Amino acid sequence: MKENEKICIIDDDEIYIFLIKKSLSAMGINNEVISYLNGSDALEELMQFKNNNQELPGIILLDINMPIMDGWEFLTEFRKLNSTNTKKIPIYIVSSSIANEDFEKSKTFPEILDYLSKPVELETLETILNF
Amino acid sequence: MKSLHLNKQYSSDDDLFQNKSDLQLKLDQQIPICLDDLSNESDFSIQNHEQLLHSILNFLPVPLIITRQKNGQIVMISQGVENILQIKKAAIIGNNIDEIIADKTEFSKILLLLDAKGKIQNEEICIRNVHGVNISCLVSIETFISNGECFYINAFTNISEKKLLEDAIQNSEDNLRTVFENTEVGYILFDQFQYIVSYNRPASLFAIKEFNKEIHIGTNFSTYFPEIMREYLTNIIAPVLKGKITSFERFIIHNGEHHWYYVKFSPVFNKDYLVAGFIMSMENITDRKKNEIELNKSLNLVTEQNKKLLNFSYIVSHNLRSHASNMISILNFLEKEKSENEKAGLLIHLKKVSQLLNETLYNLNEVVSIQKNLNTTLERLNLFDYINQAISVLNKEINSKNVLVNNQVPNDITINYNPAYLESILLNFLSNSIKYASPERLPIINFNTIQKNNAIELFISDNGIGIDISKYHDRLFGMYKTFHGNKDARGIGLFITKNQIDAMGGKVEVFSEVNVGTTFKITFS
Repeated sequence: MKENEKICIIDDDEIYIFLIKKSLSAMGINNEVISYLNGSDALEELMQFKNNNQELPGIILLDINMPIMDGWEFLTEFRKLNSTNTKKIPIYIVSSSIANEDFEKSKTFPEILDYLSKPVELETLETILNF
Repeated sequence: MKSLHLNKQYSSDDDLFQNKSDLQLKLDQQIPICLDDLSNESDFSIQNHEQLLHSILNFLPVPLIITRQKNGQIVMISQGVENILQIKKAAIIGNNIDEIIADKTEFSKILLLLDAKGKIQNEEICIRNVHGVNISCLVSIETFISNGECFYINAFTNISEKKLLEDAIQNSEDNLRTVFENTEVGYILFDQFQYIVSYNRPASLFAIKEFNKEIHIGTNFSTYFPEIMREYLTNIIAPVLKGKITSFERFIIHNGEHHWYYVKFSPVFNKDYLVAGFIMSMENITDRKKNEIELNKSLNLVTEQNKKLLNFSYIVSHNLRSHASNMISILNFLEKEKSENEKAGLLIHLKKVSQLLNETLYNLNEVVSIQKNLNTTLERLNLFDYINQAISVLNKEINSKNVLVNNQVPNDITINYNPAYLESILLNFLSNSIKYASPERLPIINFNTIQKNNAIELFISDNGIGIDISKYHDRLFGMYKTFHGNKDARGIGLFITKNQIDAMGGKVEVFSEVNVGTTFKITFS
């Protein structure tokens, strides 16, 4: 991904966000990281980006189980927000859930590139960021 | 033609044998023997007539015995007697007729009857052949006088085969009747016009037990059922009268109990394969049905438990995995980290993760203990008192937000419940209503109950900020699910509460409208 693109993390686990940021730093990835504790907060800010003609993030790492607005609801709303955008933003589900129901549901969203189970290995993180 | 009347009193043998009229011997109604009036048309002597009689008897296949009235001595027999008794004429002439009668008492009765009536027609008697085999016969006896002595003409008809057949049919009928009467299935046979032709005892008991009516042959099918069922039953019988078998399971509520029956209508065809009626069978399957219902309940329970267990395993896995993966990542960084400051920062995070893990384990343990303590400490609890107790515990929060709480539950309602669970459930719902009170109006929380069948429904209503049920209904009672962004919300209260209600065999429902309020309905079974 390009250096000027933002990495968006949406997860209610603050420690996980801290650790991802630390991992990115350790890998020498200096892209701006924007993080949100639920889908609603993320959606609100991404909406503002769009309204202000600011660039949307280059990648989204999305958790499923979050308060207020979960990952699935975020995806539905974000699809509306991003429908006019020609650039398709890659989205990865990063979750602790191993429920088959969640795996299957993720397949119904074409914008999801992969379903990653926590903890995400550094190598995996590197691979998805170097697309 | 003239008839020879065997009951006529003739004065002598000569009178008998010199009768100049046409003779017609009706020795047995089944085989009339005609003798021409020989005197007019030929010159047969009396002697000839006697010879003729002997010839006839020698030829006659009908068993016929002439005996003396005074002592029962056999004087003449027909060929038929030799055949039936399997004995030669010489061996029987001169013997007493009693020797061939198997049932002497019965024969004595017949002779008494003969004395009274002068003749006997087709009385049943059993004779015995030379081999001691009993032969059922019909006997007809006529008297005649010859030379001043009274004789009997005993004509026998062998009915032993017919009798055997009748006995076999009777036995078969008896056996069938025994089965028919002793089966546990009620059977009623109807003709094509739906009138009762026959029924068995269980059918009779069924009618008395379920409809308080006795079954009567010749009555119509519809008269045994309530008016409202008749059209329904007519529709059931219609295809049966067209030759189709119909069956179904139905229950009858009697004294509050469900009595299940398997009812079957089978057409009965005549020899032309046309429906001549139908058989209605009724089998009481209440026990089987009860077992089936219990089995289904168990199956549903097991399925539900399995579903819960799987769901719980996902929750456990998800929550432990989150913390475990964070711990691994922190430890990996700690291993590589050289800066003491950074290490100290990582340790703070590790401590936080371990605290969260501990909290998660505590919560999971609480859920497990709900299932584990299912049958412990059930007590009769006064709902009104417990609500007041919850209000009292949360008095500080209620006052700080100026909440008006109305306990409108009648003070005599009691439920059989675990006290700790009831306390926890009421505190949870009440604290939620306080927590999510609308800042735009005076918060009001009402507690009401409705008694429905054997259950009590408790309604906890507030005029708070409400929740978008269409969005959150599926997740409302999930673990660690929060919806309002409230800092205090941990997403565990409703999850624990629902588990407690479920564990006690009740249920919880929610009705809510954003910015209007929320009502939780708890059913205590």
